[in-house]
Amino acid sequence: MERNADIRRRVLQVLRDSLSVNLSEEEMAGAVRLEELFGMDSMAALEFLVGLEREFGVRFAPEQIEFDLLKDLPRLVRYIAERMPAPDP
Amino acid sequence: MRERSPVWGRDLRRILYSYPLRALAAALPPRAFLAVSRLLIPVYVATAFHLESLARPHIARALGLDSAGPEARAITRRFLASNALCRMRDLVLNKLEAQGRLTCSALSGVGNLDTALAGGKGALVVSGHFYGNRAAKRYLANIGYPMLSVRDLCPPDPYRGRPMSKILAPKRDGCLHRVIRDEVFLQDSDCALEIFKRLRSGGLVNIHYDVIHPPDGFDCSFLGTRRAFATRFLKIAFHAGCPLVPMLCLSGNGSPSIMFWPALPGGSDRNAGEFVARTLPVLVAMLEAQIVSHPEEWALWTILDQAGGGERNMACNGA
Repeated sequence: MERNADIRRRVLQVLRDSLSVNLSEEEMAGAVRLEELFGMDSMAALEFLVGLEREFGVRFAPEQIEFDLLKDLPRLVRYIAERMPAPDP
Repeated sequence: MRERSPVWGRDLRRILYSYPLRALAAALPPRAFLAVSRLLIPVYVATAFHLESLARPHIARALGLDSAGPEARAITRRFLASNALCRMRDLVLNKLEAQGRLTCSALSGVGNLDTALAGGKGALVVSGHFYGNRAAKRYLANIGYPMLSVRDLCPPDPYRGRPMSKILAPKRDGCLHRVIRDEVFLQDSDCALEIFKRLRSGGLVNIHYDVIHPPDGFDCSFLGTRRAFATRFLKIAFHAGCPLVPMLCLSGNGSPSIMFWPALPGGSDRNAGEFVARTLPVLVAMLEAQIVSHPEEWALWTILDQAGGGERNMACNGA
């Protein structure tokens, strides 16, 4: 649970950095559908995806590169969590 | 202000193209239809005053010719003939399902494409709007090199705003869709992702980088003037780490000839801005040389004045 919360926080940070937007933690706290926050366009979505790969060291499989996944925060967090190396015990 | 020729001449040509000629293309074998087409092309060239008046000044300026001189007129006539032949060939490709019948008169540098693909990161095939593109891409798909074409849903069009264009444009779009088939539009919300996805799968994406000059584009010298070129396609290539393979497809008189240049490496720069600054001037110079060598084969002379919008900052009208 804690791990997913950390991933979520970092995902939102990547989103802020890659799109150069300045939103407060409060504004992002309830975010579920990310496009509602930023109105992501196609190029912004790609920048976001590349930023996520860099931040988490994961690689999105071609069949998983889709706008819907990037816009759906809970699904995105699960996707990254499943592919990240397990934390040290 | 440029003088506009009567509405009905141009509309009539489009109606003829969209209905009787299309029906003829459906009924006749491809070779017979193209033979008939060749008889009609001189008529088209002799009557396309408006397109001729749009193209000739640009052709003359780019090639350093006198716009009113015989050489500029001759090249412009050849350009109009190539334009007409390309449209006729579209009608054949529109219905041609027997892939085995697609031919190519020359294919060179395909080893450059193979080398680029061997890296496993796909390849961005970059080209200008030349009249052999569509037939060439169908042929390449047939021999194992399918390419995703990046297109503009609303390309600059000298006919835009004409009364008949509302009826005829959808027919033309439908025809182009059946010709090109494997496509994504700049206006699609997931356009960049679709391109990236194809590259990451190790596939090919074709983009034309010669028309859109967005306000925030990269400024380069081009055909005797300064133009701002789109840069987003290079940013996608940078993120994908894929090579860029320049391609030139000429229509010739019949089947297309296709040339691939050695790939430009992608993704080795520190950031996308550096990659754009290093790569785009090379691509633009290459494109300019291709156009000057084959001016009658380049399709954009008539819309060289029209600027693209920031929304379409990637490329235009793939095909």
